[in-house]
Amino acid sequence: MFRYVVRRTLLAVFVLSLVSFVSFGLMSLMPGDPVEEMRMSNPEMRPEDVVRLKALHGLDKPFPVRYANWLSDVVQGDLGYSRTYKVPVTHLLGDRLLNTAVLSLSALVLSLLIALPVGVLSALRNGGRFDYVSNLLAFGGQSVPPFWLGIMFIMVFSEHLGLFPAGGTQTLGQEHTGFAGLADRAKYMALPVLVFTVSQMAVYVRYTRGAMIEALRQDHVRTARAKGVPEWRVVFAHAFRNALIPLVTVVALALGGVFGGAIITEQVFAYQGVGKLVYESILAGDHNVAMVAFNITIGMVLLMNLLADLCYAALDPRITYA
Amino acid sequence: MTATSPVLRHGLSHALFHRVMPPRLRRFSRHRVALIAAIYLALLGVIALGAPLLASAFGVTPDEQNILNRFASPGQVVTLAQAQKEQRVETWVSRSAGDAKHLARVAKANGWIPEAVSEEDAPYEILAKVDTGDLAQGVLAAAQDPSARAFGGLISSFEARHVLGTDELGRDVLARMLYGARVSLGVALLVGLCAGGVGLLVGCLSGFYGGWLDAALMRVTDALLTIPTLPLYIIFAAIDLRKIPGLNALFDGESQSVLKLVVILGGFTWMTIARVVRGAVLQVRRAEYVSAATSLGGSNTRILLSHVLPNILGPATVSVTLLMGEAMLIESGLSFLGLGIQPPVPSWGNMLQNALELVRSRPLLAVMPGVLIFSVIIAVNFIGDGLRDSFDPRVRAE
Repeated sequence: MFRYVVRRTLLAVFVLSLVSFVSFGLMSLMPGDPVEEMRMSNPEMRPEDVVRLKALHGLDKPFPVRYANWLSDVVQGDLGYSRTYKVPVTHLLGDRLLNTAVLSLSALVLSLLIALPVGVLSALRNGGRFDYVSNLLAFGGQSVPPFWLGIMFIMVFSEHLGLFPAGGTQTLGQEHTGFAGLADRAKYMALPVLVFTVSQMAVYVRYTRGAMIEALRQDHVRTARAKGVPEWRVVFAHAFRNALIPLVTVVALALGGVFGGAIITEQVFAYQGVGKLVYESILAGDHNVAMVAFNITIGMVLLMNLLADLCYAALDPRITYA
Repeated sequence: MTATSPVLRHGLSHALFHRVMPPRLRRFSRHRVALIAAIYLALLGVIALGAPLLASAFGVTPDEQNILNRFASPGQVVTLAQAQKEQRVETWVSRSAGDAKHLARVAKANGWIPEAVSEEDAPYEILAKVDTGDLAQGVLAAAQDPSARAFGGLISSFEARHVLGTDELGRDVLARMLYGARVSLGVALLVGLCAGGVGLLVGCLSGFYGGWLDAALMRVTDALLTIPTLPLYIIFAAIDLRKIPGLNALFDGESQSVLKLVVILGGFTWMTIARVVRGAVLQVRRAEYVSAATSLGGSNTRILLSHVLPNILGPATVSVTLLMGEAMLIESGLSFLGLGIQPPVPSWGNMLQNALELVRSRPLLAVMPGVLIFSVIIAVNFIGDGLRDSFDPRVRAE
């Protein structure tokens, strides 16, 4: 077990460094070298200045050397400076990561709260009307483009009904504290959470339903029924516990996407999260921000993949790791 | 054994039924929703192919802008302003000077315009006659002479019926949706083909030959699967592929964004297909008919192509279908963000680029392309589900 964790961690570190190397390379392919941009906006810059600035920031070095420099800085805790926001990357990231985590986790909890009962009920009524309707809704949720759903929600809930603000993270200029502050944030979070919930709920409903149908077919469930165990106990103690195993994996994998999954939703609602930051910094050529945010996103996925596998082993003693 | 045994009779009619209709198709068509979805998609496909015909029937094009006519309401018939008409006639004359000269002669010979009109003024004079109603448009369109017909076509293009209105640049929404169907459906189809091809190849090699090849290919597949795709797509969409030497020729021209998107999406979605195919190949490889073929001395290539491949096409088709739905979802999302299909090439996703600002003033513009995207993706998913049911042996038993 311990050796397995060590091996997987090493593998994850390897994948992450590979990904960071490749993404560093890709970003250098993006239009807009910082010094070139300075020169374009400042006609008085002389060619000597360009050479001097490039040498100062190490931009004249070949790409592998630049990557090595960046990596050693990051490992030492220096994430660099944001070109667009004019602040150190560390200042920028904290709030953004928190905002996104709150958004993603509330959506995850909400969608599980809805999906688990719906999935179980639909498995119990396999082939019935409830099953049919929930299947149809799950199909819809899986097929709707999240950005468009967001636009439609803005149209209905904010333009026509005026219930929620169309975008943003909190009311500007009014510094609410304590409970009022929380309520203010919740008002802005409602629509993005709803969109995010709809698009991931469908997957959980389908997984829960599938796992439950599979679990209800098992022999021990029939034995339990034959023994006269009450139906609710059969469903929850005998079937649902087994159905949980694949579900835990799915949820752990979803936790991995906690930072990267909401890019489009955050963009539609102008929600100040890390996804929006990744998107904007990539477009603006703000490489320091983009690299760190992007690699945090990927690191999260790798970590959660590992946790998912470990959970699997913990829940199902039949699975062992060599 | 008597021929009247109910079991046998049932068997006979069953066999007859099988001969009339291939079993998979029969099972697929039992899945009524999937069938409706397939018909809907086929219909959209035909409409997409016939987009130029439909657009010209209403006298509209997807690219033509008209700032004087932004946000026309649905069904509005729009006539160009006099200055715009004359400008277009001028461009036509300068572009096809020979036709213009010929037109002047024909018009005078037919008595459409007086003999005294100079050659340069002739087209404008005809235009004026048509506008006042002295000369019917049909006369030009029905003329023997090709230059007169061409000019008639030009004049009829001054009047456009905007069935679904126009967008913020005065472009016809219906025409853009029709042409957008070609792009959106085309991208999904191409991504499906690319990813399907790569996935089939990798999965077959990996599952059939096993050993170090399998190990290597599956490590790559797993590594790619762990990478969150959306940020990756954004990076790839934002970079300039032409900076990579050797690729600049490939990504030139107006539709380069379409090609680029297909390459990116295809390059990062084949993994699921490869895994499905590999699993299916592993299952088939153990089958008795494969070992029979091996013992008869069949070569690996032959066994792979004529025994394994036909038997894994079922699961492969299902995953390719589902992938096409996903490709469409991603394409629309990226195009909405401004990173996918670049205007002026229309796609349903990039038609929604300004939707957020139009939510209050022009809600229809924000609703319509989205409804199309949504309906197509849901149709594709239904078809995938229907296919899965018809290929899944467990469902067959029930």
